[in-house]
Amino acid sequence: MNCIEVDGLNLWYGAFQALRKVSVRIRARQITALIGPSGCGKSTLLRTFNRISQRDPAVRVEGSVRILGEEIFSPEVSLIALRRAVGMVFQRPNPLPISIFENVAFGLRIHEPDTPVDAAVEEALTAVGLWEDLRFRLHSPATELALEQQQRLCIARLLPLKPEIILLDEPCSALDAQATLAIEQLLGRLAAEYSIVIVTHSMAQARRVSAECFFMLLGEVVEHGPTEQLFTNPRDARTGDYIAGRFG
Amino acid sequence: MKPAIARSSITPRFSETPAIARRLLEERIARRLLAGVLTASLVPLFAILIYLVWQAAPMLSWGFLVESPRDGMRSGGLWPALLGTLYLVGAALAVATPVGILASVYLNEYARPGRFSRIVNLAVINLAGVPSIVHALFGLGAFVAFAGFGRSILAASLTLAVMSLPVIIASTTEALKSVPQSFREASWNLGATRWQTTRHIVLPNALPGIFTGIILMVSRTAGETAPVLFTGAVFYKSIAGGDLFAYNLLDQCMALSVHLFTVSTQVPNVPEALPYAIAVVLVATVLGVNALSIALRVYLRSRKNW
Repeated sequence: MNCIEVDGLNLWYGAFQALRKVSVRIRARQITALIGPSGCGKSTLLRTFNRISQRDPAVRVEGSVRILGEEIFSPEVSLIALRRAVGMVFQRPNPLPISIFENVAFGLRIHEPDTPVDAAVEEALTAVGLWEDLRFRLHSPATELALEQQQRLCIARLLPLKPEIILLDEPCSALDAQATLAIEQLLGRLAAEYSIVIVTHSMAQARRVSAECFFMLLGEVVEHGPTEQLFTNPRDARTGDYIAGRFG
Repeated sequence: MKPAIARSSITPRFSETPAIARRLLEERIARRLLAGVLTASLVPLFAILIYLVWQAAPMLSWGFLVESPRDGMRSGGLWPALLGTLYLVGAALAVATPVGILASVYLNEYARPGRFSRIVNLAVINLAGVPSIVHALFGLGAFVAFAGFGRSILAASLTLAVMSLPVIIASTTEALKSVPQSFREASWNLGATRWQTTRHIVLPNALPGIFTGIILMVSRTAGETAPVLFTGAVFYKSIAGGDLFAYNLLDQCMALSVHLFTVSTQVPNVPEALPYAIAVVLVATVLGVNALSIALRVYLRSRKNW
């Protein structure tokens, strides 16, 4: 089953075209990686999925993006509901300047002010493996955590809202090797329940975590397929050059 | 075996050459000069304060604060003026603070960056530079005459509020800009509305900076003479000494700044210490309010989480 279907998507920043006729199918309940050199449009594509890219008034889009079968550019779509279902984790961990507990509770508090939050917070922190370490200091500031814990917290923050899709934009580029591995293992566990799309500049990471992989270049999707196949037996010469490290 | 290099055989490559000595001399001169300039600029400040208190000493007492003036302002206290200033500043603060903060929130968090917000920002900066006597005339026309409040505390404090709005808007804007954009993005990405983001994330983190603007405003408005003279302050008004609720918003009132002006220039044969004592009370009032705001700001900053 596909969770994201993109057809003929063009996107411009002012006069610069960042996405060219992109058409992709992204499957539910697995990890999909978007790879490619800097400026290839992979982050831009990711940021269209919850329409955060359109905060910039210079951005213009054309084409179709359907999430769970629903066209997200149609005027009836509420950005609030869309972003609740499609959460995003950023390159630099960005915990809110409030306590650990309130960070995780924040989503519920803004969407459903009257729901009790305690159980949901415990469940989310357990799911990302933070509960045991942090249960006795839930009310200290989230910004004092180590970077890896902050990034786990940023993932945990999405879970109480029961999102359909989790988008991650180079989530490990601020982390060391060990923390990167830990986050990757976490993503592997979460993929049983959530559809995950990850943008990464590290081919090794894409290969370790993803089931399917899209290779992008200059705003176009050059090739996609099961990760193992794309890495061992690329059909397009450009993909082969990129994964062999000849450019990018 | 250690290499046998005698200390004396090392060439003096790190020793002080004449060129280095000259630079070190410049360095010493610069340090003394800068310290001297700082001292020179602090001396007048303390000189004024010490001189004021010295001259005022014979008049200063608790009674001076809480009594009404007597003998055609030549003795007694300044309670009506002190209370008047507190009313004027308090009412101006009550109007200008919420309006200024909310206006600035719209400008920063809602309005799209572009020609409109640039023009508004430019207007705000220029408005902050308009001389207070011009605001005074505006207040006289708009609040006293047109709105029909008459010469009153209401008209005067609204004039002060209009005068201080640009200061509050400008400083709130600075405070909002200092809140990292990543906090807003994190909040928006969870599906928070702009208002939820502003209310829960941006404003709490901008509060210390906003207080700076309010402190500036209090200092400025408490000392203003022209705007209140035009719109609501009077030469003399008798109220019960020590009564905190002696004025009503539609009354005229006395104000410390105007009182200082009249006692110094309009009343013959006042004791020499009287104007100085009024000045000391005015300065102390401003410093007192500032100290309170600074304490509040320090408290808020200590609760800040990043």
